[in-house]
Amino acid sequence: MAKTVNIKVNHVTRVEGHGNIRLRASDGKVEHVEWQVPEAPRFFEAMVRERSFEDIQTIVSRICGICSVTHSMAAIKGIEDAMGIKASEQTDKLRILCHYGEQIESHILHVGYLVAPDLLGQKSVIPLVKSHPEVVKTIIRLHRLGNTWMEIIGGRMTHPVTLKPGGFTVLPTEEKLRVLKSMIEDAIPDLKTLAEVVLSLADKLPDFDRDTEYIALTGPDYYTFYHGDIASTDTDEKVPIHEFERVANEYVVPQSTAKWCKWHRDSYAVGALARFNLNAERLLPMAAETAKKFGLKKGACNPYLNNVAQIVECVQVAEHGLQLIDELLTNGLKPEPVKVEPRAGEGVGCVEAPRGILFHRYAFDEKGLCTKANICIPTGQNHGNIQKDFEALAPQIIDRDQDEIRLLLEMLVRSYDPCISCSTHYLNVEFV
Amino acid sequence: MKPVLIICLGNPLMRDEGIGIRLASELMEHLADNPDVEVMDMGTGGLSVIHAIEGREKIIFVDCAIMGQPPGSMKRFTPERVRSNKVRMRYSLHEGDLLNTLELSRHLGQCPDDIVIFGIEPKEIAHVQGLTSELENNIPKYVQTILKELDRT
Repeated sequence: MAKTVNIKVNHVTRVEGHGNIRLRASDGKVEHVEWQVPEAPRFFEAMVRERSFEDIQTIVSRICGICSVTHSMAAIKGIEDAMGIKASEQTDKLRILCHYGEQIESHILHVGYLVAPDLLGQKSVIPLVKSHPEVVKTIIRLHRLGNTWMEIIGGRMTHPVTLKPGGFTVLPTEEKLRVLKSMIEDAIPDLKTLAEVVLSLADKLPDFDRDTEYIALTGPDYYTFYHGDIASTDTDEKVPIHEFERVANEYVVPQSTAKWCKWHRDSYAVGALARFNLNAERLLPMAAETAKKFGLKKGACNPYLNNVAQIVECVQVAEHGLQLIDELLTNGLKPEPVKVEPRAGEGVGCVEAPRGILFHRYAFDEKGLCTKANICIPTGQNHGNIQKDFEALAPQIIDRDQDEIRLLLEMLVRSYDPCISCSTHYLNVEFV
Repeated sequence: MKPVLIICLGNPLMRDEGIGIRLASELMEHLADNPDVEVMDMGTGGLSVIHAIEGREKIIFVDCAIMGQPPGSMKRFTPERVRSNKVRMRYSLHEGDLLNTLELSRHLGQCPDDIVIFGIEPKEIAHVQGLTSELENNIPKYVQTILKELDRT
């Protein structure tokens, strides 16, 4: 059917962060399709300059309310790298455990609050309370687990306070770890229920494949969010995190104010699906079984399946979290005071944020004051790929109803779980 | 669990958007020994508010709010008295809105009845640490007003 389509979805906030969708077509032909986003905020890099290495974690933990553990850990790893400190095995395990709390919280929020309404034909999670009360209650319980998980290890629900260069300011008690363990065990049935619900709706995820380069951390012996080198589905080469600029090549395109990132192609994707595509064989049994139920296999290149990969990862972090707690309790938690002596140097920290690989690079002078910072966020790395998906998807769906086209494009953006406008939260109200 | 919870929201990296977090540390000092009142710095934690408020008797929110008032003004209101002007696209988990979160909590039947919001009108929201003097000079007044609210409970 030859027709004319004109879609303009505007989202403008006062300070930063908008994502606009533009699509123009006539006679059934797409003339223009565009994902418009602003430059990733670089202001935070200026804020840490001239600050002591001891203050940086506190500052960067406020960049984002959802990825605050992730930013804290990337900064801490970068600082330790610059100061020549190696974290102990106990510290690494506790950090990974804390980070898992954030992964599960973020993934559950994303699947539960943003994706489930799409799959169940609602505009937001609120009508789901009436139409699907048990689904919402399951989501809320799992979200609470993530919150409590981070509180037990990170010292509070958001913006952790116990994570520091060298180790922890306060260790969780063994009693608290046992509490966490039983909470995770109790949550396994909820995770299975959520997976079943999404599986029953999986046919609502659009059928759209586009051959894509995926990039994530990869490690030799486990499904990593924390250790390892940078890997791509396009090559066998593994790049050390110190050379991340070789992977995240930023470039300017005329139609976007945000820089795009590329490595082997014009764009690449990061996030849960990227991690799955590069590490699936290292999933633990329950997570592997979950992937199998969905038919999710390495090489998947439907961006909407990122949501399925997030569910697989929720199971993975619960399963591995239980193992880590057992190992920590078997060894017994030991206080490990570490004195960090500042020195001049440069370091890189890299961890997998829920929405993809995150890089922090810092340089310090001999007093430990920051002289340079570079933060490369996952959403910035995904923008170019969203545009490439738009260009491939739009002609395939242009004959559909305009509202449906708009929804499919919006769902595509949502599937990447982007971090947009994440640093502000103020109320904007009028009195009625 | 203490029956009264003061939740302070905001981001200290964003100029006056950080007023809630600054007041959190002031209020924590004033109320450290109070057996009935807990103060939480929840940053921009968004939906975590749902879990924090469940089971409490009274909630007081302290947040930066664009209300069309002169900069530095503080207004006390309940969620029913205001309508949000935010446009939400649901692209991202990061576009949180407190009023929306409270609505969800109410629908779930776990929202306390007694909720008060103290909104403080910003002079400037920008990527800068530290408050503008319009807000900074009013800190003692804000603290006293919030502490007086506790006498109402």
